[in-house]
Amino acid sequence: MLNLKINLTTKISLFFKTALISLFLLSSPLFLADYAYGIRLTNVTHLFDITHDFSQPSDVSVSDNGQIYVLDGVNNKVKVFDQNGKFRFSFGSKGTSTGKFQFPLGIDVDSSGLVYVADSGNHIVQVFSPEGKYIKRFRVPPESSRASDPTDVIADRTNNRLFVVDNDNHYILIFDLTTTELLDSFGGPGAEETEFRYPFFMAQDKDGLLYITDVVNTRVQVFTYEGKFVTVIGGWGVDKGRFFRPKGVAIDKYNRIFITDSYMGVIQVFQHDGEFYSVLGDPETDSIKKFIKPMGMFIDRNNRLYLVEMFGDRVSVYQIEDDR
Amino acid sequence: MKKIFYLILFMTTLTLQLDTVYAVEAPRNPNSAKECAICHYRWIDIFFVDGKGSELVPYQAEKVVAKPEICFSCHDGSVVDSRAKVYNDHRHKINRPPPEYMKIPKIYPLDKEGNMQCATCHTAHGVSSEMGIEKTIFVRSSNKNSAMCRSCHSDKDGGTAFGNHPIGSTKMKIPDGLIKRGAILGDGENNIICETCHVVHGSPNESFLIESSRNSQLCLECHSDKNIFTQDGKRNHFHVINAIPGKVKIPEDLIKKGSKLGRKGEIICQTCHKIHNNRIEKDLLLIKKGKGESLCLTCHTDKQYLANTKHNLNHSAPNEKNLDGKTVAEAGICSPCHLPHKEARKPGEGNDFTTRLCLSCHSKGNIAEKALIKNYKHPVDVNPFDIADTEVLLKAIGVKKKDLKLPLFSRAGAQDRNGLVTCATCHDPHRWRSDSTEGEIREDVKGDHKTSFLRRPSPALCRECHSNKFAIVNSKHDMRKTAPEEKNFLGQLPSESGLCGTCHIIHGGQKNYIWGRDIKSKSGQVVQNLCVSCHNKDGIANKKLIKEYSHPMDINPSEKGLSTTLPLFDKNGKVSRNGLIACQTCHDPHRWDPTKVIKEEHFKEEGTAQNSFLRLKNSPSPALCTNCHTEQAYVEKTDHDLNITAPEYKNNIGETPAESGACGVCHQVHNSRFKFKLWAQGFGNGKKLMNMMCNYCHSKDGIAKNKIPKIYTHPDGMLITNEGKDIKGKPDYFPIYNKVGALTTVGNISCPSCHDVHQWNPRFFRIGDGVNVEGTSENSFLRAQTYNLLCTDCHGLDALFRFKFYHDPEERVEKRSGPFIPINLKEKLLEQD
Repeated sequence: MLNLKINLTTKISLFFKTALISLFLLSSPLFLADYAYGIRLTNVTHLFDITHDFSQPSDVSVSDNGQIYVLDGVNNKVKVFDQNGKFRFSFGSKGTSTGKFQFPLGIDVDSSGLVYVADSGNHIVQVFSPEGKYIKRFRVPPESSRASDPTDVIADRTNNRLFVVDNDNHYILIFDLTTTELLDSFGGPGAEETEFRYPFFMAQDKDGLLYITDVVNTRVQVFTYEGKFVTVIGGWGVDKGRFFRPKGVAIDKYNRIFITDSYMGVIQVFQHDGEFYSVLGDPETDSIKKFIKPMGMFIDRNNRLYLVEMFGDRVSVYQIEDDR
Repeated sequence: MKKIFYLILFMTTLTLQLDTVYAVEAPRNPNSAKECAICHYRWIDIFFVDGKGSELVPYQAEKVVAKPEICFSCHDGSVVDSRAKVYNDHRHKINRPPPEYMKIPKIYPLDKEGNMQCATCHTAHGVSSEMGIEKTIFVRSSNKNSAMCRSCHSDKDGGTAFGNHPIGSTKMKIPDGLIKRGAILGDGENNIICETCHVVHGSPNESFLIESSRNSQLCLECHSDKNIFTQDGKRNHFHVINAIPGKVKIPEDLIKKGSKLGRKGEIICQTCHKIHNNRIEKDLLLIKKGKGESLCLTCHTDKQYLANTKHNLNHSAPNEKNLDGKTVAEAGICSPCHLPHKEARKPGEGNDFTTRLCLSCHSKGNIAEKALIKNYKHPVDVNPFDIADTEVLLKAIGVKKKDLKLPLFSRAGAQDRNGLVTCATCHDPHRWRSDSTEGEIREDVKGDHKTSFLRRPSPALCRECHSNKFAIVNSKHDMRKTAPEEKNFLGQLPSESGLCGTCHIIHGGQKNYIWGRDIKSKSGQVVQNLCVSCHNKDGIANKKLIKEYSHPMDINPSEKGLSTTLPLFDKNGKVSRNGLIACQTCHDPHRWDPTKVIKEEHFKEEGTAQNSFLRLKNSPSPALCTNCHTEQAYVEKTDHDLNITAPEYKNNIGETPAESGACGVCHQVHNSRFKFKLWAQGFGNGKKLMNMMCNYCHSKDGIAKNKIPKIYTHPDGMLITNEGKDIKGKPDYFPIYNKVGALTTVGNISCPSCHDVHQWNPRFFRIGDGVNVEGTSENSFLRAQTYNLLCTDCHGLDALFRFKFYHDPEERVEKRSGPFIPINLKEKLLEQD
């Protein structure tokens, strides 16, 4: 009976709303434009795609010399391409011994070219040379009795820090980059500031600030490299500046924050102060550019955007058009 | 105004239509709270309350909470990582309806198209939340003991009574290894449930099995007692698995019933067993057992002819029980020897399983004792190509490995091209005769070369390996032609024994060459004895006897400073480089003509040096003789090769040079009238045997009458010594013979002192050029350069220019002026001066 009431109320409400819309449509020719174009677009020009028998890849990072490292996690490999997307080599296979992976998710390349892989299934971070030669690995400790789930890693040479996301335990761990000694951690489960519900990917800007996607809290939290809370970007919803499934985050040369939403299939751009700026657009259609489950991202010093589309099994490379 | 009216009408109609859809799809308890809408995307305010899309996404009218995209938005690793397990195409089917026969309980909702979705089995509301939505993604009902699986897949439930693999507790221990690989057991001990073999998500294998069954591995995890290999790698003699069938073809009908093969067509457990929905046979077999025989014979159709043979124990041993304790009547005609997953008989003696299986009956005290193999038998347990004699002339195997059609077997009994000869190489125990499907069950009827379970009738069977011996057909040694009434050792006529069986008896022959004839000779030489079995005065080959003055045997050529590539034999008949000359050294009893295979009848043909079962052709080129007598080989195509100079001439047994060969003109290998040199000619004038041999031709009535020296003797009484020049092979070799032709070191010279009748030119060790030319002092069969002749010792260097003095009386020393003074004496006199 209650349901019937709701339905009836809803029907009446919808009828009047529709009638009002119709009248507005008659009086305002901008009605359609407001819906379709009433949001700023930051256009990206498609350069090329990288496909190489990927199986649900998750993350990408690019070295200073332009080598593109794609984490092809379900294949348990890191695949390396030159700056034009030509395959060079790969390393890794499924397993638990050194140099082997168990469905890793996050990757980072530091300024010296060393490659860091967050090996989620093995609960470790592994370090490789630029040529993929195994160097070392270290364990990401469990929280209480629950095994760690490292889903992303950032090597901060400036501050000699290594940041690791522990997704299942909702913590961010800070290691000494040189000794891999655990220095500190912050976070914990919850929805308040500095709490997470499934932190996933990270990015670091030129100032050393960390941007961490907080998936179920549908936001990105910002911290200093020492783990002090700075601000929150986004929030729950599907409106501009909001997230349904925030996943990947990257910082462009203007310190703008690019954040993927894997369900909505869009990439939103935020100003450095956390204010919504734009959404990536397609210059050919002059509309919002839609992606197939966009995940990890990387933006290089030339403002090239490298985007992993997990369901597309590809990495798409774009040039971000300067709209400032 | 009219436009406004139509627009309002249009929008109102559209709204009502949307309203209708919405009303149908409206959730019963919609809630736009984030905790709900984070999965119930459609409940987000802007869609649900405002009924519109946002700047980023369009309006969401359809229910998507159960769509895989929603699930994957968290199960992509950002909350739970199900990429490999669920989203890698290794998941339970979604986006499609369940099979028509399957009844899905109402608690497992399908989507509005009737398709299965994630939400069919999963719900966020199944159990209370531990800390929030992230912990509540559970199944809709308990899957304890696979209850949830069984509620839909009820046709797979119920165990063998319902044609399915047993389910529930079992006495069999589920291996720990299987559990480590993901098998889940139900409550209690060894409780088999669906998830013991299957996983719902993440299996790359067929039917979501935790391991593939296409290589039988999953089945063998528990049913290891059915494995054809033991843990330590030994072969169990069970029905093969994981092997590609050779001759057997899996019937289409069986495939239609559900029989499966491995990825490369191998026989696997599921080729015979169907473990779900099997209404055919209680052992989950795909074949109805019937009277017992149909099971095996479904695939092994070529074995069906066993039924009317003595190997069907219904006829020959109905009370015999196999190791399973069952008679043939109880377990079928295959069961006395074969059980699919057990040994049926205790194997007999032997090294290979196939032979041992035969001997389990064909041995003393067992049911086929009457058909016991006596004496010596064809070799088994050997690889024919391993023992193939490197001696080309005596090679036992005439077929290339790749062309051998008879089966070889591994020690374990599996067919193996690199395997061994076993009983089953020649015998197919399932078929009495290869050219007919008829059997034979009468106890008093014995097999012959066409029956006896042979894979081919003999001699075709023998020919499969020994094809190189089959030039014997239609030759004098083909006793079917030359001695059809002659019986072998077992009393069989050639028509009964077959071609090969006249001399070789495969089972029950005599030692060495499984000889099938009475051995008369006791020479101590095995292979020689074989020939003498027939070639004796009472034998069937009594016209071809080897008498006293024949080529020597029982010696090794090396004793005479000779070497050969012809086969030599030890006393046991084995080919040996240290062996002795035997008949078979020069003769191949299986081939009349060494250069070609004659298929037509040629058993009446009289032999010459070109055939006569010789291993090498001996005419016109004397290849056989010169294989040993290499120094005599140079006679060919010289004036002493009568093929060149006197082709019509006949030796003393009436053979022309073409018939006798170049050597046979002067030497008769068998049955010569003369012992010395097996001389085949007469003797001429002279006092010394050597001279008499030469003089037979070099006489006024001889064929060499134009080459008669006026004199050929050294003055008597002047004995010559050849000391230092009596070493054969040296350039100054100058032999001296006594009257009877024996070598000596003091005596008088004779023709062969200076002449080597086999070599035209002492400087050229080669055959002649086939042209009759006048000789000079440099050739003319002289043994050495004239300056090396012994003559110079006495006659000085003058002899070099007076070489004819020996044959020309005018050149004799005594006719010349001045006294004859031996040169060494002359030198002494000069020294004295």
